[in-house]
Amino acid sequence: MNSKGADNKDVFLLGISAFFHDSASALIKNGKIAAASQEERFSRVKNDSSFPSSAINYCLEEERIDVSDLNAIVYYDNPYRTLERIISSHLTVAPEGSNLWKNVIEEWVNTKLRIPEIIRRSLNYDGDIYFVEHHISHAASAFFPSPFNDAAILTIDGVGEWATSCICHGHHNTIEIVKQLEYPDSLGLLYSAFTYFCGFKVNDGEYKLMGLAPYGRPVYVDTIKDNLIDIKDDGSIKLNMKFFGYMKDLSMINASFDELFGGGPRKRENPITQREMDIARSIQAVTEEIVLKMANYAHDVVGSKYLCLAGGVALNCVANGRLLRESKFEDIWIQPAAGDAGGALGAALYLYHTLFDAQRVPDDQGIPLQAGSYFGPRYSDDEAKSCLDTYGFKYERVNGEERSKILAKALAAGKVVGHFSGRMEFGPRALGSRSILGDPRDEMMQSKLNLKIKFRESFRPFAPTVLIEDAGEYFDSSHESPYMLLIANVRQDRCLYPHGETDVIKRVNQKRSDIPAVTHVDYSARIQTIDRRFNPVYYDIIKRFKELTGCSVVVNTSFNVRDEPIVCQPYDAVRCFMNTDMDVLAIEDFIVYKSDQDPLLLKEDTMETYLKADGAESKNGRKIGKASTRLFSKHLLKIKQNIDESPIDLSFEHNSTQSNWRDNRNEQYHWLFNFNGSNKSAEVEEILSFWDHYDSNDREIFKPLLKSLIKLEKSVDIDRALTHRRVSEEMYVMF
Amino acid sequence: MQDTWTNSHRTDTTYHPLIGWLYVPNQFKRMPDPTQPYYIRTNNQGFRSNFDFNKESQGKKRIIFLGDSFTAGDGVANEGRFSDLVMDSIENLECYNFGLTASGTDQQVLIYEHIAKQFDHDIIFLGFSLHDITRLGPELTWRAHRVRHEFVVLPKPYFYENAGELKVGNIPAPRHRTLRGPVQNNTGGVINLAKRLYELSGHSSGDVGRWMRESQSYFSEVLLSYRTFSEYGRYYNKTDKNWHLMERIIKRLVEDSDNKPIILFPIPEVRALSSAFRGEYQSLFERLQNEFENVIFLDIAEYVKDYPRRDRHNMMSVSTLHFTKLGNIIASNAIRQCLINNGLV
Ligand SMILES: [Fe+2]
Repeated sequence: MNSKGADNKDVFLLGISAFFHDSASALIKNGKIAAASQEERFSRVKNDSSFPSSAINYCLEEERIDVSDLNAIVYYDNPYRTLERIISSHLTVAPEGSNLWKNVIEEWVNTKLRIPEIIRRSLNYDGDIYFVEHHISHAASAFFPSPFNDAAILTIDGVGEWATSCICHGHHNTIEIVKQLEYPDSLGLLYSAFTYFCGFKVNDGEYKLMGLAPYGRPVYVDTIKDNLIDIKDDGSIKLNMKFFGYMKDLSMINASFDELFGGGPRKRENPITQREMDIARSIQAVTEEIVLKMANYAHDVVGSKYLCLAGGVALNCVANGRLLRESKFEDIWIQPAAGDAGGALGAALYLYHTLFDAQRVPDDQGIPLQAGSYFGPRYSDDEAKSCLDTYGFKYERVNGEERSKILAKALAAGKVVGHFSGRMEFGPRALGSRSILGDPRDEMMQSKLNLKIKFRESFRPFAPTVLIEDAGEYFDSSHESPYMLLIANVRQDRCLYPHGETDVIKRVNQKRSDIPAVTHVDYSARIQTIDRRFNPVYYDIIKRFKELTGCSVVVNTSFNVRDEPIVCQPYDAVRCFMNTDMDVLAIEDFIVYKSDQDPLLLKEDTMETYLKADGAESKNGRKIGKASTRLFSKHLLKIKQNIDESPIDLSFEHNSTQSNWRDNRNEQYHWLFNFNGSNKSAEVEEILSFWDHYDSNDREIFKPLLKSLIKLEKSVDIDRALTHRRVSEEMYVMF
Repeated sequence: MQDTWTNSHRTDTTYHPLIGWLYVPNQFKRMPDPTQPYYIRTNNQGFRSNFDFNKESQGKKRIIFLGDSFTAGDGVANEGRFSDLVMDSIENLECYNFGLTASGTDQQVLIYEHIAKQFDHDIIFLGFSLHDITRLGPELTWRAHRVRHEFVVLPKPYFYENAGELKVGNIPAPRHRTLRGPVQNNTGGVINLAKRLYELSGHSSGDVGRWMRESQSYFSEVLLSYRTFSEYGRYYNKTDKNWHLMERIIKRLVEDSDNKPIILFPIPEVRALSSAFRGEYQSLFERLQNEFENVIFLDIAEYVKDYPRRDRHNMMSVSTLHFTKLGNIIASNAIRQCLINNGLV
């Protein structure tokens, strides 16, 4: 069947994020979000940063169109401006940093220097290609789906091009950067450094660090503030690079950092001690202080009543909860896909409103643009049944009322239910479509879920989903939180206060409220409010559960095991179900009881085998390695001699009055670039045209280096091993 | 079975006790072939078709197409397949496509016996790759597990001879699948060899796939045919055990056909098409044609010999290893001609 979805009048824009963090694709149709998904869900490689071929294929499939129906493809970052920052960073620390340089060159030659070429060749596409600035992509993902016509937008992440944080002003269909904080001063990188130090994976474990914080005491706050960072009153920061390794090496921190905290990082296999908990708590406190100050400054410079938030740091829901309660803003809205995956969506939305000068898309019969953030694939009953039949599962088929009744009953009986229904979520959280559910009143539920189902650290808390109309009965905030991005406290009249216990496992198992499984040790909860308009199937289960038990809350954790991406298709779900202690699986209209199945079913598909690294080596690695050494000694060191001053200032002193925010560099500054000319690789002039940290004389000095770099790039073919590589676990991907 | 990792996120097939596997019914999906992506749809009966099948033919002439992935249309959309093109080109003709990817001739005949036969029909068409002769056993080793990138061994129904009688084994088909080692780099040694040859022929970098498609070089055809039909040699020997079994299976279909015309459409490798090279297989199928009044052998290699060499070369796709759009068009012309010549339409 030919694609029948496209009508000539429809505007289809495809957004892509790739090669840094979790890659993703998003398709918007006339300004509405038609489809969006992370590549990891299809490739089954957690945080897959490859070119998102499968996600793109899915997005086109959702609208039954082909690439020829697209009005444009847009990439979420400007790699050529990023290159300026990377070369500048190396210039600053040279002659150190040659190892890192080699890594960077290999990565760039294979992927980032040739993004238009990769897009064209992977998709057989010859239409328009655009790049949007990284933080504009984040900002657009936060502003356009928000309910606000005028808002300040705060984006905070590791780094994108030069920016590590931006204050933007969104007004109707426009977005403008007002202030920006630049590399290497980055809250995201600071947080990632501590993630690494506490023994979690960078680019992934930031969330765990946040979860660990309530167990600790903020005893290191002063150590951090006295040594690592200068926090200005306006929320801008300056990092003391003496303690960080990321400009010189493949390491977030260095020996001075270890010394400061009395020893090296926790090894991943070692148990978490009070030190890590205290550190987690301390860096969380510092983060919250900075985010609050940044937000209040954004309020003052933009002068809007509302705030939109995106970038990886916006996934820190503890900070978000404080923003909502304590900042000067009346209301806030956060993009659920706040990390780089959401950049794909933001880039497409920005292009739509800018290039097509389109008006904001009004709510669709009361459903806002982001709705429940269910923009992934749906699988039919036929597909679910086919999967179950293939492996010989025993099941019963039910639907509607009957289905929610059965599941509510199972939950009330203490069963753990895997729930698979409708379109998959876009963003890192499971919001009921691909979720594991449990009874929050059960004291042992948190340990059971952690140890026997998720196979993960037992301290990790679980989140509740609560019927939106009942949120105020359980929590001290009844603010809508459809994407699990806000923290609220369990209401005091529901809490119990046992005496201190130092052992984490014991503390986890102490009953703290009448919904213990979702009450964190500090009596907070990371809540999802469920609105029937967004997901009636999920809502009805909880409604039924309430009828049975009087409780309008369930435990909701993502449908996966530790280190595995959230399940996508039925096969992923049945495999996860059979390899964990889940009791019941509801997959579309089919209910599967573990007790009815052959226990050996799918057992050879153990999870471990999925988690092994790709191990792909670059086929041109040697050639590029040699060439990069030459580039370093022949070009980079020479440039260093000829450039008076690096744009990166490494001096550090505590001086909280002097702002580190920078104004918008250029009045004529544009954040959107058309790359139609670049069917193949970049040209020197083109790259330099995006550089804004050097004057024109200085830019000339870089020409021989760029020329050699491009020559190297042209001499190697696209290496699939590198366009399909997994993201680093030790190092924030900033190059 | 699980799709390969470059394919769709939607699983192709589901278990069937009598056939081994059938397509997932009522599915719509995009196949992300890098050069020519396409959409496919399956109907309520679990076959690739844009419409559900009706038992009664209601006055139209109807052909039942049986076969493997070539007939099912791997590599093109439903309407781009030769069966659908034939239907579009002849008035008052319905083509019901019961083709099944990765199936052996045994399963194709079982589809007729258990499913297709119940639908009114006037003509039977059996279109299959010569490679299917290797699929006549109790299991099929299939490309890859979607996630693990390993070969999967799928049990399937099959025919075997017992005291001179043709028996069916593995009914109901066992469900158990075993994994058999990792798939090397998706395409394996042949592509690496091709790359080496490509470099030797003076290229420094570029698209090896395109070169193999377009160069019409001897090397590229040999490589492609090697990659496609390494078992081709079996047809050189009419006393071969596998051919003997294949012949018996086809005869079983003939016996079951109620004397309806049966068109046999074996599809050779690209080299045979491209250089109009005559293999031994023709004589084997001619024998069947001579033995049964209702059997028609349609030799695509013979039919294409007057086409320009470039067209012949471009009938087969390097990336899908199946007929291209052009290949399907040429095949449909051959079939239409055959129907007319035999007075069947
Ligand atoms: Fe980012």
